[in-house]
Amino acid sequence: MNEREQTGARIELLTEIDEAARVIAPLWPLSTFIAVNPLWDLRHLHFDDAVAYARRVLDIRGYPSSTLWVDAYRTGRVTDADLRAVLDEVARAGRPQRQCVSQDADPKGRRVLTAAELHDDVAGTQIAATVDREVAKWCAAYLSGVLPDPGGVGFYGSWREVVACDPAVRAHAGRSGQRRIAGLGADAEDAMLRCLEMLGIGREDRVRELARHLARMPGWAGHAKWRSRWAAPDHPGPALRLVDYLAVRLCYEAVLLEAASDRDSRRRRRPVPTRSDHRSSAHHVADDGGSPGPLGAGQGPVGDVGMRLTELDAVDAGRVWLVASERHYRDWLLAALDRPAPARRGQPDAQAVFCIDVRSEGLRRHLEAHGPYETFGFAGFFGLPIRYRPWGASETVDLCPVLIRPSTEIAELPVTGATEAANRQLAGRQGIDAAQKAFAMAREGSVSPFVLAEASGFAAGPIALAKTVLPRRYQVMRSWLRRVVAPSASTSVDADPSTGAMSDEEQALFAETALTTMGMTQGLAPLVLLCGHGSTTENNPYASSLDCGACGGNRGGASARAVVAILNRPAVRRLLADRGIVIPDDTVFIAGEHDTATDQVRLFNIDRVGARHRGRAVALQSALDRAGASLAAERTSSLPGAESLGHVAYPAQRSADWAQVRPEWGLARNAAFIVAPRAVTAGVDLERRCFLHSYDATVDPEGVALETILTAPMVVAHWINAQYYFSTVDTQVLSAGDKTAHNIMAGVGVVLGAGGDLQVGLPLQSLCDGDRAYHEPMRLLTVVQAPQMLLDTVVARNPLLRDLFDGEWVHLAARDEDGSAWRIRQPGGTWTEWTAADAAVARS
Amino acid sequence: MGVIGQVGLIGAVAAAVVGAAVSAAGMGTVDRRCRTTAQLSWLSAVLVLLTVVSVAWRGPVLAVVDGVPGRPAVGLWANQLTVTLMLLISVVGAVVQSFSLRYLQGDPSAPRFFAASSVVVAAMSVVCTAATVPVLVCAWIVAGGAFVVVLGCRPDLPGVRSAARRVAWMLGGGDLALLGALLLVCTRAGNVDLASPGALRAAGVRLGSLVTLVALLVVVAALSRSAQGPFGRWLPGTVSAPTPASALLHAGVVNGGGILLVRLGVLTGGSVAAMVVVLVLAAGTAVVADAVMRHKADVKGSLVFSTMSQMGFMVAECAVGAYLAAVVHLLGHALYKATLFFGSGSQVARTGQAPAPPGTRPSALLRSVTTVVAVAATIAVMAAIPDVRAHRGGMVLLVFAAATAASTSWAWSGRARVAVASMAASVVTVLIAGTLYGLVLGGLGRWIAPAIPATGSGTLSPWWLVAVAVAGIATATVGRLPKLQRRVVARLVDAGTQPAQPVTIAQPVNGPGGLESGPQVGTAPLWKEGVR
Repeated sequence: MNEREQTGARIELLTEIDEAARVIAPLWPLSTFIAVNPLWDLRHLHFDDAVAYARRVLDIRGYPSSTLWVDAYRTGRVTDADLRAVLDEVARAGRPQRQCVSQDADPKGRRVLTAAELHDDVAGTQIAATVDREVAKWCAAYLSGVLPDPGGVGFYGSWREVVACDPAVRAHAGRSGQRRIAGLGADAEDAMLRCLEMLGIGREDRVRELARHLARMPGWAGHAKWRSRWAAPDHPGPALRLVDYLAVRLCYEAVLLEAASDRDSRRRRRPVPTRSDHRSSAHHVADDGGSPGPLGAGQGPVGDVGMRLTELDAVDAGRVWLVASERHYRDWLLAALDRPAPARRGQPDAQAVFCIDVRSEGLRRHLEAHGPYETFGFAGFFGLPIRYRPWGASETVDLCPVLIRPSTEIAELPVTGATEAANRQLAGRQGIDAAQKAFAMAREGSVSPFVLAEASGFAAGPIALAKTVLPRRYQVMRSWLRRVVAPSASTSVDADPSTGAMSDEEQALFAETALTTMGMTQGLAPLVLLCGHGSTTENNPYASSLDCGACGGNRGGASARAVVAILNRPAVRRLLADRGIVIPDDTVFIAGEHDTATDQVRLFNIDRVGARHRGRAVALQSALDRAGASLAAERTSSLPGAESLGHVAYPAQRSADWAQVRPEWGLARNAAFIVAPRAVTAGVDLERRCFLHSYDATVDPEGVALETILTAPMVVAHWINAQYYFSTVDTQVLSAGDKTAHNIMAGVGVVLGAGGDLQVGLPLQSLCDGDRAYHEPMRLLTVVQAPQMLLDTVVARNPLLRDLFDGEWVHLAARDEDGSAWRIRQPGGTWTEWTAADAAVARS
Repeated sequence: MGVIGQVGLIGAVAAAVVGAAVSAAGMGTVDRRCRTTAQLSWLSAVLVLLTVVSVAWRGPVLAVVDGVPGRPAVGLWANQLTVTLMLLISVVGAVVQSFSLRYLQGDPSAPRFFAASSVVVAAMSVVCTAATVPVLVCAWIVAGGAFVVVLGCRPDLPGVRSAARRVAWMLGGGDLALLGALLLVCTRAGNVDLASPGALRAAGVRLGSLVTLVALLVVVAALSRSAQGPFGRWLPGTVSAPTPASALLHAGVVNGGGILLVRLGVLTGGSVAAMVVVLVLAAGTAVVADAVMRHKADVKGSLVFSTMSQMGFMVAECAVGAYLAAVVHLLGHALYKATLFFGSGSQVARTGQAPAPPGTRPSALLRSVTTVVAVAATIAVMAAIPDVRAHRGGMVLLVFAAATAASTSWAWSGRARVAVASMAASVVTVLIAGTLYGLVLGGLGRWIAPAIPATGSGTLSPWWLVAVAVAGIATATVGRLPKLQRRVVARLVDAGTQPAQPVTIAQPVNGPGGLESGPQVGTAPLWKEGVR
């Protein structure tokens, strides 16, 4: 092959890798867990087609299993009427005849398997499992720095340096295998092409082969995809790229299969199997558990509905159940919102803006009940993507959704007069850090660990006892000790352009967008709280999954502080006034942070609020305390173990408890995204299931704000919703499995037990209460209060929104204004009037 | 008071057994049963504490059923040594169960875990305090079996079945060896009384030339339980089970080898051959497992290889007759490692939390001075505590303590601020830690010393332990040679990885028909046609 052909082949290969990688989702490191739709890159397909393709490649379940239905049916979350309505609709429309985008999307297609899997199936070998073991072993070694990469040649290059000495290659492929590996070139792409050739994979099969290779271990592949496509280019640490990952996998597969066929030919038996030999049942996609057979007597629907369900095949039945449960919830929600808006209660004492997170809904409901407060919902980074440097920290934190990059760096600095205290605090923190590092180094030594272990044991034992028996007391004592060594110092987050932040004009532009999108351009109260959120949990590898998703899986308090700093600057207010937004002089913005594990809200720098607002701020803090307490009480009963665990079951205890695998429910049971003024939802108990985004269509004639809301926060909500959906529906592949067996791997992910693949998705303890699912899997329902014309225009000019709504990844319901009828958008863009399938639901 | 001690001793074991029964076959909800078992575990721990008080006040407690008058048939025997070991086991067991009440909440297999872990605790308590050899051996076997059940509670988790099977085989091998030893001892020396001093020594004399064989068999049992040498393969797989099972390892399971060697030290110490086998295998395991640990990327994997290495050190201490040092290590390490396993979910560093390092780095000279001062002060203070030097192997421990102090202060001073205060803080912290450790060592030495078995004729010099240190440093150095590094990395990474898990490609299809007619995946040949 000449050089030009070689280059062409490489480019083609890279395109094929991209295409193959559609079936896996990027996996963010645990330090910033991001909930993601596992099938996001298949969004150009209809939901059903994407699921069908993923089933063939990833071997996943795409619809709720019969266990989930039985539970839903028994608890009345799906009724006969719902099922009947959906069945009638299916009967009327016939089987949906969608144009399958490719053969790959055919729902009845056969499993896609790698060459090694095909060989295993015919010859009874364990080559695929061996490839997985070797690749996982070296990925772990590479990411932890055990496999050295001094020249920065990447995973494939580093692996190639060492693998010739690997006893495992010798054991599985013999000396000839070692020679073959050594014979593969130093370039990952060339090696891949060579291996594909050795495996006899034709052009037309390449994408499928590569896709299945990635799907064998979606965790490591997902990490590589994150690193290749999503991570910041300057992200520190070893970079595991998709090309390298696939090259190493293919090398193992090619070499092990050659070794196996060497062995076969020596024994002169068993002809080499070909793809057409595979007719065994193992090659068909797994059953979705959809046949109503397993439903015992009295568990599922009987009568005509039961009969008609039995006639459907597994996939269709699963679809019917899913749609019926979505309808049931939709009917309940739209009926609950279908009432005259409560009258405005006059000028509020304070206004509070919370994150759209479903957990904020509870706090907002309770806060409104505890005083004359008005609340708003907005994405938790308040529209300002920042790179944030906490005081004295060695690294910065990107506080924004992963879909965008931070535009400016903002630092936390000591307030004037507190510089000395802040330096003392930093020195203390450095001392603690040095001690911890010294301890870690001594653990890693070759002589020092022996006495270190026994000596520290006599201190560790009592600590373990205290942490287990009195978790909260221990936490209080530990933070007291920390304060003794590193005393707290007053800091502020400043947005002065002289400190390197954005210019005044940029700040004003940002402020205008944020206030308009929130619908807060007039009628501002004297005190406005911007409240981020985070979750304090102990001994929890998934801690960041409970933090603010809009802040990139970090705590959101800092974002609130930065935005408050901007909105309080007189220069910005002057420029805003020029643009027609007048912030009254006596309006002060303050920042806060809602701890969703304990439901306590901390207000920042309350002592720096002027005397005029001091009273209001104190009253707000006390109202927030009371609201938090009643919310915590409300949540206690829904958390598992409330009856059996005694006092350690309370939220504040859970938050401090290192033995607690369910510190809070997070965003479980999320179901809807509501884009409307708070008046539409105020006073309704939405059970912490709805993302609430404030939006006032009357101040947004062009639909600019609506477009932003639907293309950014709604997509984040959809990612979260789809992550919960797929993790609940497929607990084998798309959920992180049981937390009790989790083992943190190389600081980037967890594995189950001793090793293997990184786990993707959410842990079972975030989804289930024992055997029962707590999360109710259903696709996101977006509810918008805006003129239909406007909505249609916005959807029409955004291909992404068309994909999501037409592909039924997200459902859309809308009404023009208060009091008008709800309409449902059908795939294709037509609207139908909403009627409840089960009249009883709408009445209740 | 003697009666109180007896009540405490028997009551403690009984409470654990009742606790196991409640979880295994009790009435009421899963949560309720587990809760009761955990409460009984705490009761058991309190009763052991009562026995400790009794022993401290009135001397050893014997609770036995006599066969021949004056010769116990079955029974328990609490002296300073045995009751201390029993306290460790019951407290670790109780903490594990309290932790598991929340950690395993909602797990339908939790009662089985609680029942089996209570049996482990009860059986190991009996091993610690058995008054006769047959009682000890029976309890030993029960403990091993119960631990296999603990491991196998969640067969649905990947790797658990194969791990449990491997543990059953390897521990079973050790148990067989111990049964063989018991058979030999019983036929030659009858029901040997562990409570009366000299009975074990007399049994050794009666065994005559068989003493080497018996010692070797006992040593095999100890090595298998402590995952030493060829038996090391069972330990890494245990991390497949839920975290509490890994913590429970330290309630006498993986450190059971040390307990056995200390309790039967008089017998095993009589054979030079047995002691050499133990020292070589244990020292080798300590060094190799430590090297593997440094090449592990996962938290629990690195903990479990560290455990293996530490157990090597402890067993080697037994081989040189440094029983007190071995017991102190057993106690300290069990608490340390159980804690680390409990907290193994805390190892994800959140971005933006670590403080920036201080601006200027201390010079090598400053670091050296700080380190020398810290080590000299620490060792001087420790050596000044009389009970530290007095016991066998005490001086060797000081050498290891000096290495630890040196390593810690060298690392610390490398990151500290260049300021008198922060340098002094590092020295003082190391000094305080060393002093506290010395006091614990001395205090435990004074408390346990009367019950420590006499060293046998076969025990080696404690200075052989230094060989462990030398071998460790040598291995680490050799591994860094550029020529060998690749080879070493490849071997150690592979040694630390569990075997491949056989996976079934897909579940059989019992769904609707028509799947057979689906389009084929592709028609290309599987791989190169020429290869046959």
